[in-house]
Amino acid sequence: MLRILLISMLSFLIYSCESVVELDVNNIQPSLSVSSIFTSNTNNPNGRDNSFEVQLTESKAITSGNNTIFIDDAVVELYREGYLLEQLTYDYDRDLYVSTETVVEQGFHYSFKVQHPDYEEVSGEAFVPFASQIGSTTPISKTGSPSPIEPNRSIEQVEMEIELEDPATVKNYYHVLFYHTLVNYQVLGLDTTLDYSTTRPFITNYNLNGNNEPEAILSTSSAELYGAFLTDQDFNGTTKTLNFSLQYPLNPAIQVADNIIVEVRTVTKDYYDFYTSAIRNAGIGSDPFSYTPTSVKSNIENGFGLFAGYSHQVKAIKLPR
Amino acid sequence: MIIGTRHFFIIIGFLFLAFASDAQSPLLKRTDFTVNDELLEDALIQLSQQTAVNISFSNKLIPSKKRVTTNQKNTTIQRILDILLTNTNIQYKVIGDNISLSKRPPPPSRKFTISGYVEDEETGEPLIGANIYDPDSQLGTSTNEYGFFSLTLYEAINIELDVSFLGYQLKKEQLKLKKDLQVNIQLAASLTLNPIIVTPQDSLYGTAANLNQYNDQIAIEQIKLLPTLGGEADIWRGNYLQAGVQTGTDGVGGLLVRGGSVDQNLVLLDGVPVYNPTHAIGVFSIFNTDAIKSFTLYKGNAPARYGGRLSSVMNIRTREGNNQEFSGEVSAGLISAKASFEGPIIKDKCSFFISGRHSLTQWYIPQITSRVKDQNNENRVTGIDQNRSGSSDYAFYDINAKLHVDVSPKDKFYLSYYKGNDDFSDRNLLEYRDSFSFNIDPPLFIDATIRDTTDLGFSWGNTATSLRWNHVFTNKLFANTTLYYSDYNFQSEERFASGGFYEDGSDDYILEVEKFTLNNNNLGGKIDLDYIHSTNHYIRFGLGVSKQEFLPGAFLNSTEAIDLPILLDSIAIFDTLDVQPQIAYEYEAYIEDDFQLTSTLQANIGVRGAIWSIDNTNFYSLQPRIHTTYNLRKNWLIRADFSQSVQHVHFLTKSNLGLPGDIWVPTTQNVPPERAWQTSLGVEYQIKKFGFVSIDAYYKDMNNVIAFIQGDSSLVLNATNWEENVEIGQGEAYGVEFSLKKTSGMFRSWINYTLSWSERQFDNLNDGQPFPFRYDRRHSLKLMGQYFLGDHWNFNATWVIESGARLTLPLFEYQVRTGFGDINIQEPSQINERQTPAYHRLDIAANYSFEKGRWSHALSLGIFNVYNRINPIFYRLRQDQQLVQVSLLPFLPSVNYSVKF
Repeated sequence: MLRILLISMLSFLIYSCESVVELDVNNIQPSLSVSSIFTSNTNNPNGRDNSFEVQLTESKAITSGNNTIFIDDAVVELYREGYLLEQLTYDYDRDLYVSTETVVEQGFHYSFKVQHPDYEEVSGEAFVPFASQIGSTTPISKTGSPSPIEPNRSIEQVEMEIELEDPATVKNYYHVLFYHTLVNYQVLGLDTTLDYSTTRPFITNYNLNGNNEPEAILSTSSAELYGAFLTDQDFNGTTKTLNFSLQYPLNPAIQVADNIIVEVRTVTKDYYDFYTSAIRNAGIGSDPFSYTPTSVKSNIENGFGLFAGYSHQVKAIKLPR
Repeated sequence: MIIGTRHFFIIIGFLFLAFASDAQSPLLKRTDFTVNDELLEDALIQLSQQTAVNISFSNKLIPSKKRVTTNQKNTTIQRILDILLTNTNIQYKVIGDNISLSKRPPPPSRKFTISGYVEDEETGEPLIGANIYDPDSQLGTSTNEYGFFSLTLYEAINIELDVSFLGYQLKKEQLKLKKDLQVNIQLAASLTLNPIIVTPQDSLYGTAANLNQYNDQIAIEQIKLLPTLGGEADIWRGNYLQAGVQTGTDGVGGLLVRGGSVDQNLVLLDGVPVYNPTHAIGVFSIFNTDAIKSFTLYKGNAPARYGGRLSSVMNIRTREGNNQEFSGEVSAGLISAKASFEGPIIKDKCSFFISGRHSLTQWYIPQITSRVKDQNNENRVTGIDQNRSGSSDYAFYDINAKLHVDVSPKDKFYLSYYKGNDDFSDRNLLEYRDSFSFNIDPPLFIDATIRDTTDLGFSWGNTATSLRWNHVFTNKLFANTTLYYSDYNFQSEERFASGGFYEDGSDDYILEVEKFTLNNNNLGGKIDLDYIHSTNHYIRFGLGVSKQEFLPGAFLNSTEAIDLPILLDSIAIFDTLDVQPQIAYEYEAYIEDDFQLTSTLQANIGVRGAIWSIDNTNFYSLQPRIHTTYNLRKNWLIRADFSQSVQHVHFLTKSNLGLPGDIWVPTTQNVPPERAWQTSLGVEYQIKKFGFVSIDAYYKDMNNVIAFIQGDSSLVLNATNWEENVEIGQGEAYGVEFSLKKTSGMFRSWINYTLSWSERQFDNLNDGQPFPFRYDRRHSLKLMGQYFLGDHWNFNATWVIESGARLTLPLFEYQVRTGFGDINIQEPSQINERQTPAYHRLDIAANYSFEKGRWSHALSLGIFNVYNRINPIFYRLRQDQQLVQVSLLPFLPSVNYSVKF
């Protein structure tokens, strides 16, 4: 009886250990968040073209509980080297402001300005760098091991080297991404049906050779921030071999692995700073059992987000059978 | 008035003496005194008449022709006598309220040394810090950490030493000092329940040996009387009540001393460093009070014999076992049950002590948490009905054991062992029905029952073992040689399984497994020597070497998806479990001297040298330590310290909470050692029959402190790349501590107040701007009251109020389109810009003890957090976007019963 009484009492007390706290941020004026990442390239593995796209949303207090508000009635002006190019129009299907005439070109500075009666004017500028070249790409090994849980499924591990030719004249920032095509086949009588799906293999390791590799930051928890980010700080003006280890699942009974495509984006410092700080910010919480929240670096004046351009080079890597 | 012919005595003003309320020594009485070419005898009579103090002497003693001249204003009689008796062979001595003059004996030509141990009469336990004092010569010493003492005096036919120790009866030890003596002195425990409370040990009568005890000590018996959490007496809770010592909410966060972080405390258990000294994420320590003999806290001014940490030293000595008779103690509270046994294996020669403690929490925590977790409700976000269930469990244990053998009067051996472990598990089940649509031809709509299971398990623990040899080389040279091994392990495993059971009979599931393990161990040896040159010089020196291994966090993550209708974007396995540990060697040496510069000025000056060797890289350091005390006047003491410290191990903590999974990492080529210098200045006034009041100011400058780069945990929990994920910065802490302590009488109390600041600065955190340390509590007030009622009852209360802890909170959220989808980014405040509400809590306890035959019983009843103050431990953002504060310990009654035999 004493035990039941004790347990009941303590249950009540512990249950009451969580209470809602008012945070004094609900009355603060919201700001605009700008998303615009553009490239001069047209053959993008992710399907993007070389037009301008700008998304505008409203920031909100962390406790507001509201859905994201898209701003569709702002004036968004695009400039190149300080001259007005055009006013972007709103695409209601995609919730984006898009350019109708302008295409992105390497080596130019672009800027934008957003005006809206309810918000402070926001602006930003970006440069589209020239793409660095990918040298040779070499798959070193490909191994498969059965899944410990389902033997029919294989975990494929690919290790590869990628040569990056870094120009000496500027400090470069890179975003390295991988794409992978899996061919799903099904044998129906005498017919075989094929279905292609593009995935992004997980970058499980980098710097395979130890301390000689330049430092890179990998996103491991957020698919939206996929890729490896690095600078040429340790190899400026040289051809550097980067080592990556990739991993993907495969069901050999119904799937065949096709080539792996590597995309090396030459990006700006603003792009690099935004992504690397966003990676650190991703997945954090506000309780002490998560890591201390980190601020995401933005190049938007009076607002949040990113306005940045990049150029890339893409290369296919044939996997050993 | 002069009486007698052969001797005449001067007795003047005895009526005044009868009414003298000031019980000061007559030597300290002040007066204006002027004589001009007077006979010495007349000058003495004048002094006696003028001050109403009896000064007795023989007329043959005084040189008849000696004349004196002096003009003194507001000067002590002692000083005037020193002047008058200059160049004579006359000495003075206080006898009661009188001053007696006598012929100064010719100094003995020989000195002899008395050495040995001071022990408990009943158990044979050596007593640490016992005082041995010769009133005639006014010289004394104290026993060292092993109970050994050495006192060198002039030869005498009969001397009577006063031997005293906290909680023991004063013993007058009579000895004939005609040769070097080796004696073991036994003290009997005090007959009353009269533990001394906190005692800063700066000696007011001043001997070099006493000087080393410039620290805070609390008698273990005192700790047992304080209000407890669930009946669990704990030395950590006694520390939290001291000025300059802080902790997080309800102890979560560990011990923080003078603005330092939790890793900057050197915790020594019988001389062995312990990595994680707490159970239950800091709520109470791993040290079973039944096994502890003494503990001492140095708040940053540790002497040179201690090293390796920047902020404080906590030196804990365990009991060595009763070598006279078998005895034991059994007790139980709401948190744990304990038993300890001790006794002689060979009487007076060999004894054992063993103590074990096991939690009782597993008896009720699963049931409590099961009740809390069982819910049927609606998901706040999706609106879908869901069933939640699960339970948690927590248990811990610790064992202390010691074997003690006296091989010869000069050799003692001790084998000590500690092992402790915590286990925590948590299971959450979530079940709900949902509808799914699949974009295939034709489109498929199907209902399914989803069952999510999350299992979380943590296990962590310390092992500390040592073999110690005490050897008396000579009666002035004592050596302690220690071989030790210390180990800390942490393991966690989280399994998330989500199964879908579709109405067409098919099913699928996903399983994520995440394992994490870390280990630190330390194998070392050291020799510490005490050379007691004289009562003016107590020299300590020693050296040590240790091999330290760090496996800062090996990590396994795997995800498996079985028959999912939707192809997962990726499947990952990280596996660094086979990573080899980093190995470092540390070589240390020190020398220090407690010495008496003048009768009022004492100092401890020392230096510590260290070499840290890792991956063919050596780091050298030289760390000077200075502590001085000055007896300004009677009952007034001034102390000043300067010290430099170097710390070769770093602690990477997620949010400065001192959680068991936070990792220890070594100094490496890329991560330099932490360095600090600290200075403090204090003044203390002893209040007769009351206690003392003191005020201390300190300043501490810390360099090369490290912190995680902020952000996503998956970036940093990797044994192979931790060096790339730390920031190196600096810290600064300063403050003022005020203490008023009533340490005698039936009612005793403390008032401890601290005003303090503590900041950190890292180039790549917080835009390079300094930010407050998480526990930068501006104000901290701690009160303790204790009342003894008769021989059986005592009542205790403690109340703490202090500024809230600092924290970083997300304030805004915004959406950004990255090219691979939209991501919501939470924008936080500046680091530790926000503050929780003030922390305050009242605890009370009543203790009743009685004896029946050879059985001693003690019952303790208490209430923790009497008025149920909800003090937040942390804040979190709930799924429904509500910010909630989470607190830990509400109103909790406690009971503990113990019986000794």
